[in-house]
Parts: sequence; C-alpha cells; structure tokens
Amino acid sequence: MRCGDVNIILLENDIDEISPSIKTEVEKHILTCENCKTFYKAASAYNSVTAKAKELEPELNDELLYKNIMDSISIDNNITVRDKILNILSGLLIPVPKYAFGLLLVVITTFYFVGELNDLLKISELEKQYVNQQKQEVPLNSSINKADLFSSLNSVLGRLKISNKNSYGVEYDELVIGQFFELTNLFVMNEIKTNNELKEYLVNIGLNPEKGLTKGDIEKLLRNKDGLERILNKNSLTGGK
Amino acid sequence: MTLNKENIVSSQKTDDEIDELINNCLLGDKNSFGVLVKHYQKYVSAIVFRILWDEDEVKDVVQETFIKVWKNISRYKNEIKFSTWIYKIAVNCTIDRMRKIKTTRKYFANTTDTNLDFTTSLTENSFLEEFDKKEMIETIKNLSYELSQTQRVVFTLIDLGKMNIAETAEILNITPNAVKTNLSYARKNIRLKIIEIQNWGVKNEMR
Repeated sequence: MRCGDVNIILLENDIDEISPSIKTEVEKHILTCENCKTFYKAASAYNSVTAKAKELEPELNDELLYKNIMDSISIDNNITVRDKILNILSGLLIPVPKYAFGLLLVVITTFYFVGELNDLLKISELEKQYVNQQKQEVPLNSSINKADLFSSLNSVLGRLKISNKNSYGVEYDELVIGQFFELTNLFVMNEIKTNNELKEYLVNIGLNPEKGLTKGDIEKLLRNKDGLERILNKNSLTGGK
Repeated sequence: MTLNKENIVSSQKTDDEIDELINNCLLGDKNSFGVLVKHYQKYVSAIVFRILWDEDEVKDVVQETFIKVWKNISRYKNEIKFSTWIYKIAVNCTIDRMRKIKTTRKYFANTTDTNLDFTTSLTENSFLEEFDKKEMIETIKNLSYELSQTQRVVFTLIDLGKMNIAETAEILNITPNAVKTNLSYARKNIRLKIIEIQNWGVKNEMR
C-alpha cells in the first residue's frame, strides 16, 4: 500500500470502520513510514476527542425549558390565519414557499399597479383618440382661431337687439337665434381663418358687428348664408384650416 | 453517554404512538404536543449544543425549534421519520442562529491563543480525561474552526451524533454523496489541525 492511499484512509475515514484486511495493510505500512504514522496518530487523536465530545451535554434546566416551550405554544396557540392557510394549502399538496405571503403581496401589488397603469394608459389612449377626433374636425393650428371666433360671435350675440315682444315675435326671434347659432357652428366647423375674416365678411354684407346686430341684420346674414358658405368652402379648399 | 437517540429520549414511544400524538396535535391538543416535546427535547438540545457549543444559544434555538414544530405540524408528511423532520427543523434553526451570531460577534473565533496545553498528546486518553467541559469545548471549537458550515453540521451529526449518511442528507437536504464529501473534508481538516497544533512535524501539504 502506498503513502497516498494510506493518507487518504487515515485522514478521511473513521479508522474504527476500516475493514480488518485494510487495517492490517495500514498497520504494516505505518511500521515503516513515520509520516503515515503521524496521520495514524492524528486519526487516533480525532477518535479520542470526538469520543470525549460526545459525552458533553448541555447543562440546561430541562423542566424550565419545557415550561418555556409550552408557554410559548400557549401564547402562540392561536395559530395565525397565515399558518392556517399554509396548513390548508399544504394539506392540498400545494407547495407553499416560506415567503409565499410576501411574494403574494408583491404579486398583488404589482398587478394592482399594472392595472392602474393600464387604466392610465387606457385613459391616455382615450384622450389620444379624443384629441385625434378633435384634430380631424379642427386642426390644432386653427384652435386659436376657433376660440377667437367663438368670442367674437358671443360678443355679437350679446349685442343682439331683439325687439318683437309678442309670442310670435319671441318664437321668431328664437328661430333666428337658433339659425344664427347653426351658422356660427358652421363657422367653427369650417373654421374661418381668423376673426378678422368674419368681421370683414360681416362688413362686406353691410353689417357692422361693432355696433351690434339687429334682428334685421341677422335675417340679412341668414339670407347671405350661401355666400358665406362659399367663402367657407373656399377657405377649406385653400387650406384655411 | 453518546449522542444516541435511543438512549437519550426520555421515554420510548412506538411509531404508532408518535403518529397518534401527531394526530392529536393536529386537533390542537397541547398535552400531546407536550409529550412529543419531552420525548425529543433532550436529543434536540444535544444536537444544537454540539453545533453551537453555547448553552444560552441552545435554549433559544430549542424553544424556537419546537414552536416551529407546533406551528407546522400539519405539514409533516410520513415520507420521513418524525424525528428526522424535527431534527431538520432544529438544524435549520441552528444554522440560522449561526448566521446571526456570525454577524453580531466572532463566535467561532480561533481559540489557538487560549491557554490549552496542546503540546500534550491528544492521543493520551488520560490527558483528555483531565479536560473539563470548558476546555473540551474550546478544543473542539479550535479543531473545527476552519470547517465550513455544512462540514461542521455533517461532522456533528455523524461523528458526534451517530446519525447515518442518509438521515444527514435528508436533514440537510443534500445528496448522500455530498454528505460523504463534506464528512471526508471535515475529518481531514480536523486531523490536519491536530497534526498542526500537536506540532508533529508533518508538512501541511495535505490540505
């Protein structure tokens, strides 16, 4: 038997469990090899130390320790809901990792925030669609004009002078105003390029928006609706939008 | 007395009796659990002690172990022995404690500087007989200082606890071959350490 083999046997094994034949070989070898004899001594010392260590017992007050354990159980007797769920799940052979609840919480939180995020994205998408819709109807570059137009028409409307007082007159006035609103809507939808263009047009047909419009002015405006629409169409064709 | 399950447990119980006690525990019967605690307490304490070598720590770990046993008893499956399952919990609690200790203080400090007379041959049993408990603990801690955590536990369970390879593998959740390898390394490291501190003149080339 070579030194290498003896070393491994003596350093890594329990010499008491070595088979008798190998033990004989080892003993033969160490008679002639001082180095390996040292390993044999080390293995023997190891056995002595471990044998002695096996006798060491903790000096504990077993009764007190038992009492402490049972007290802890009593305090902790009401197995938590978490433990109950874990027990039920483990009963169902569902493997539940130690930190399952923590993981579950993280997953739920993640889903919650992802859901929130999706909602936000949906809202943002709806907003986008809405803006696109609006864009289709009114290009962005004309939105200022649109605002101007509205304010202009409102000021015109504010200065409307309705004079008929009877019920028929009121009905007629409402009709005129309704038509006027439709017309203003046309302005908005077709976007007269600027507020000035509207004023110019009103002046061209003999009206003076600065002074306010009478019922007759409005009727006149309505009669010139076709001409107005032509101008509006022209604006559309020439890229007035 | 060796760390042998059979002669440490306070009163022997058959497997059927243990099963019955477990079933009672599942129904919340604390008295049955108390019987189980009494049955395994001493052996669990011994295992934990031989790994930590600190009685104060042992008390805490044993208590923690049995609380965990109580809380998780419904998870116990008959695939392994109930004792193995308890030791598994105990060893895991001990390893957790070792990690905590390691971060708070130098627990497994090299004790070479202690006043132990290592020049006297450890092979002389009469000399070892004169070692008191504290000196013996220091000797073991000194010899096992350089072992890895797994090697230390394997060494304790097998060479100080008389557990077998399969049971140790189950407790540590590693393969039997891994247990054998760790045990070989543990034995080799300790024996080389003995040669070193005994100054027997063999070069430390085997490490």
